[in-house]
Amino acid sequence: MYLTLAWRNIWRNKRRSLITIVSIAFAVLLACVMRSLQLGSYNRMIENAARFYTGYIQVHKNGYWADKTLENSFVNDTGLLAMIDRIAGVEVAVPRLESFALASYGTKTKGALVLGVEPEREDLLTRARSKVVAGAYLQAHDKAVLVAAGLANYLKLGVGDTLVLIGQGFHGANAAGVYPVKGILKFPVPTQNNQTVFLPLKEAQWFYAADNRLTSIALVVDKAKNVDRIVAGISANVDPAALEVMGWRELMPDLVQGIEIDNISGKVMLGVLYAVIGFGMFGTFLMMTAERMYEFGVMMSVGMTRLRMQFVIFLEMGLMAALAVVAGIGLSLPVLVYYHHNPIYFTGDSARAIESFGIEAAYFFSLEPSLFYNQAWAIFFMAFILGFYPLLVIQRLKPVQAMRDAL
Amino acid sequence: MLVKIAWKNVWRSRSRSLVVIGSIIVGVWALLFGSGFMNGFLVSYMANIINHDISNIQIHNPKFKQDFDVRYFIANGKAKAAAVRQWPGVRGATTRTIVSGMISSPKKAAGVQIRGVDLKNEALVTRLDSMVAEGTYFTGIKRNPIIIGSRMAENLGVKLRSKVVLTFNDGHGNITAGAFRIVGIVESSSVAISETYAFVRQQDLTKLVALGDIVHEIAILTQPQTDEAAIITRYRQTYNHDLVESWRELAPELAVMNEMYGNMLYVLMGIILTALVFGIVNTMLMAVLERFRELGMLMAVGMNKARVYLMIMIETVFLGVAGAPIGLLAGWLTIYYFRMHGVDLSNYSEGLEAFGYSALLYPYLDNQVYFIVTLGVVVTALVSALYPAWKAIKLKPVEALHKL
Repeated sequence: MYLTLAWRNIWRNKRRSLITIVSIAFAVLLACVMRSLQLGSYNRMIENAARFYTGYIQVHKNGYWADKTLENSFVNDTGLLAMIDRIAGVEVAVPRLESFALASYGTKTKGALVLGVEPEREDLLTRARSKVVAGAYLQAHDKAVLVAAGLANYLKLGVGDTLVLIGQGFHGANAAGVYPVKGILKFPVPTQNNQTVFLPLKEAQWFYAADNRLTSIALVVDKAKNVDRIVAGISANVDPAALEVMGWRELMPDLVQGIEIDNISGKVMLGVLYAVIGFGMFGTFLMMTAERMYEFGVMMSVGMTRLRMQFVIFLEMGLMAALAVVAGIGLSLPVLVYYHHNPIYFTGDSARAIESFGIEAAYFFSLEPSLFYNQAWAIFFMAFILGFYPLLVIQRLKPVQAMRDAL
Repeated sequence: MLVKIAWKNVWRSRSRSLVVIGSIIVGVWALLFGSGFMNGFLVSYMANIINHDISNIQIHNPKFKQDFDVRYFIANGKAKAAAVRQWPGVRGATTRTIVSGMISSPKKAAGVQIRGVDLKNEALVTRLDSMVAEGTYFTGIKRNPIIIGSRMAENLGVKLRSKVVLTFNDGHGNITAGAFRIVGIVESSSVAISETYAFVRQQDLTKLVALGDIVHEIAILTQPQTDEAAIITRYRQTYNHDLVESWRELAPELAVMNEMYGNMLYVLMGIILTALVFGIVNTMLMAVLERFRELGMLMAVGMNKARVYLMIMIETVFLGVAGAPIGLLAGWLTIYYFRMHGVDLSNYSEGLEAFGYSALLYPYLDNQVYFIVTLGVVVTALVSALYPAWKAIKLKPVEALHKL
């Protein structure tokens, strides 16, 4: 009975109800777009950072992350790689052996991060093959190196020249090697570009006297949100005292903090948006109430109690807010789905400057389900709070005066 | 006459007018606070890097930055720095001898940029002394003291008074090495400082480089609110062989960040303005629809459409003019208050300080932003009134009078 009354009330003055519904729906739409834009850029940042180098998950010997030395390397047991590959969601596992050594050519010498990699697997993570700007990419059995462009520039060497590497191997062994340069890699991140040397894994193990040992296994997974599950899956299958399994949150604490900080400013902006939206909604409610004073007066004089009237109005508000929230999400979905698949790239000088740092100059949109229902709840809640205004007005209404004033 | 009617109309329905004025106030305030807050983030982050790491202006030998070869030093660098120190607008200028090499502890080796610093002036320009978290600023160890960052110390597994060896090419291309003892460990949110720099006394380093008393870098910190370009031009005119760069060229990533933040800010502002337009359109539309009878009456007694249209627009202008200054004042007061006291963000992120931000955020706005925002919101209000006003002149007087 009350529900029917409320429903009919809504459609009795179609125009007024539509304005209210549209204004709330629009608020939901704007809040969703704003949040989607923020969350989308975070996801992309994580994806990019993982792709630069680290991967979403790494496995190392327990203690390696705190103290990255060859002494904390572990034996590459074939069962381990096979086990990791089998876990659902793992796209590729990339074994690495890395340490610092001096790289020298002619009269120049510089500290370099010498990285032993399996060329094919490495390419699946960092897309190293596409970063080759001169020469060719490595083969697994090459006895040659790839040098990062910044380092090559410093050493003034090119493809075909011979690079001397001197360092300290496993258990303090002397590590020295002479390798022809097979190619030059250009990395977007300056620190990486200025110090990286790629060596095939087998050759690196020989160079560092670390036969069949690895410092880390980096993983590419299908979705960032599966990381926790995969970490748990691997941890369950290895001896926790021997190996540590870390997700990107532990691997890249700087990034996590950066996102958290940016998220604060994002939330402040969202709060500001809610303030503006809230005021718009309040205006609509206020007008709606003012318009209906006469009607309220009549209802009351024919004997409807305040409580019942308030209940009906409350139902009206609830119904309209529900309709509006559904409409708002319905409106935002196609827009966000489209832009999720077609990020907005911007052009011009600033875009080029941004891209030179390996960051994509674009707006990305997220389709995380939580983003929709969080906004929906927030707006619904706001409508609910603001809806107390008409109830208050009814509480104070003097029927005769209301009918007079309205005329 | 029309103005007078509009003015009276505004106050005839006080609650409705107050809602529109309120939306305008909230809109202006929200935009001001939002941009001030975002700006505050950026400014505090950039100030940190400029004041503690790269300074406003750096001078090098034009060839030095290509490959950091020790032989490309600044001719008469010390004399030039001494002269620059006297210029107006310069707060401090320091010289550095810079060598790239390797730092090794008994446990581990890492790449490093060795910076031979002028103790007194370095403290003036980058406040290196204030960043020393453990140990002292080059006092207490007589022979070859060295200061390194906390992350580097962690990487190398060294503590105060540990010995480290620096290895690099000297001025004649020979590999040379020197043993240094750690006198201090600096803590900084800057990755460069905490992970890749090692600071030694200039004279200790130049002795090993063996090219005499050379410097590779002059860093200049300007007085606040000084135009860097003036100092750069003056330097170029006085000594024309050196490469002079401002922080914009030195740290393009900061300029990029500036750019990205700016773009994002515009987008967010756009979204907020759209929300504002919607709020105002709704209220004005209702205001017009509610007054159908009255407007119909006006038209029936002979007011033409242009005048009705104009009247509604004038009403909106009044509302805007009433709301904007209050919003402006509220925004200014909020920002002024938080500029004095800071916004305490420590509850939201514990890692804030570790990342180069201070947990107290000071919003900041250029004066022109106040003007732009206010103008923007008033224009928005006017635009929002177009549709309702158009709706009003569309109405047919007789029907409108019959409606109620």
